[in-house]
Amino acid sequence: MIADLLTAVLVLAGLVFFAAGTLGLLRFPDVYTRLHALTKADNLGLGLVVLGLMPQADGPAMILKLVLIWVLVLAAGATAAHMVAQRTWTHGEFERRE
Amino acid sequence: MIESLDPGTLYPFGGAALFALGLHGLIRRRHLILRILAVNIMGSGVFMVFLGIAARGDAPPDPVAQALTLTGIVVAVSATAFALALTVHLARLTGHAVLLPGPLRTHRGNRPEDP
Amino acid sequence: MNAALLAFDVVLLAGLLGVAWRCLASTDLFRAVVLFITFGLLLAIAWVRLEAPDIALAEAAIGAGITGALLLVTLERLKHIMNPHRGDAGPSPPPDPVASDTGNADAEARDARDPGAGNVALSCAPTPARGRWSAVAVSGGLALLLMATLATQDHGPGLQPAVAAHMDVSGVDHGITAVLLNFRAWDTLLELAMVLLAGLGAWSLGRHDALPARPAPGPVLPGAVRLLLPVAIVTGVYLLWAGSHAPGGAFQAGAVLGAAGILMSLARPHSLPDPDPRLLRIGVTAGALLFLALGLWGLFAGPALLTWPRNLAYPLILIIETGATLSIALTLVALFVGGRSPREDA
Repeated sequence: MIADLLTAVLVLAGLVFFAAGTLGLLRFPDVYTRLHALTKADNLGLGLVVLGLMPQADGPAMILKLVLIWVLVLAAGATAAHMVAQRTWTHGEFERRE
Repeated sequence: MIESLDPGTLYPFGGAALFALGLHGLIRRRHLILRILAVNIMGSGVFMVFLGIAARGDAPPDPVAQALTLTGIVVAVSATAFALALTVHLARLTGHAVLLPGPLRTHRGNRPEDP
Repeated sequence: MNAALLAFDVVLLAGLLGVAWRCLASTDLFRAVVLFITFGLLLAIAWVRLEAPDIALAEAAIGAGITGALLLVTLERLKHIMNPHRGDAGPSPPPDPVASDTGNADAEARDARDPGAGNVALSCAPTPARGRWSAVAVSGGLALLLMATLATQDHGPGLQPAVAAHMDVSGVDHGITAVLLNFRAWDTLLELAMVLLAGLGAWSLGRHDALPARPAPGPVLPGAVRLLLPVAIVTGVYLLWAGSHAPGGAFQAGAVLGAAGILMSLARPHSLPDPDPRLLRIGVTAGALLFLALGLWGLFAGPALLTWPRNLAYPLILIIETGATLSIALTLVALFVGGRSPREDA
């Protein structure tokens, strides 16, 4: 019961951060601020979701897999954000032509 | 009412709509990349109909339909890759990635407008 | 709960249709490809809702990941071909695949001067309005017909009971792997042949040009690849092994390993060793040939073509899956790199 409550609270908190990050992606004016909003908020949100799912896991192996997913997304997200920012810095912003 | 709209009913309809949407794109768009995307979306619609029907009822989903869909996804990516290779080759020969009526002209003098 | 799930399904389907629509209606090919990748990821969620975790894994790795990488590299190639020297008005010959290193440098200088200039080649003007309504009528009518057919269809039990009844002779504990590699091995063999054919077809189109990707400056990408590559290989082997009793199997494993190879060829395009063509050919054909050979052996030693003796089924399936994984991964990387290696022509 406590585990379920913990899951609900943590996952909901994580979703709030996801929503905030997405809002930033939609509302912020340029690539850098968008990346800033998206990566930070989403990493935290995913961390909270993973933490929230841990009480529901079957055993330590499942918990380790969840942590591994989080670490991998952190690494991949940081790399991708860096590359997008670098490309924007050297080549300018992607043109909007619609 | 709500019970009758389980995923097994809802998703095949969505799949049919996706198939039609992809077909519309295939008819309307001329650029080969967009046509390849349209065929892929049609394929996704077919997979959705398959898996939706497989998930009907309370029993575990039909593994044969799921296995065939898995096969289909791998075949789709192979076909897409080959189609993309052909598109690049066509662009190298003619200078544009659009299929035009008439015989293939391989010189790059009169580049037509992308319709 | 039921109403919440129904709302989720409806929102997901609406999102899928909306993303597909925006993708196909886009006048900008880059935008269309990015929307298509989004579409693949949403589709993976839909497969989870339809209780198909195997398909969701495959869709996320193949449908969204590898197809997306293939599309993006194709766009980069098209940009390179259609816009070799922006600025001079006259037509120019297609770039020589061998000498495309200098072309890359040109493109880079041009991109740096005029950001977004190369993207002009990647646009597609909106379709003229003529014939719009007939196309809408054809596809809409087809959708209505399909939906009417689906609505009147019986809810049969499908083949699930039959598969469940024969699981003990299949040699594995996971229904989908049993279907793929035992009950309907014929389909899987043909599928491997299809993958092989696509690879050979792409190779037959000529020599491979240098990847348009340039190595990203800075230590971040190589560092991340150094971190991710071992994890990807372990994940691929784990998926292969897990396929006998849980979602996973040769296709997902092949896709993950192929993605690792693509990542490596993107991150450090010049450090990749040119593979020995003979070894590469053996690797690409290994899956289909091994499958066929063991299937023929089943014809003489076992009950029929492409069937396995009951006590040997598990090891045979594992061997076939290993070969298939290797072939799928290698073919996907080869399709991404595109064309034959220059060493073969020498």
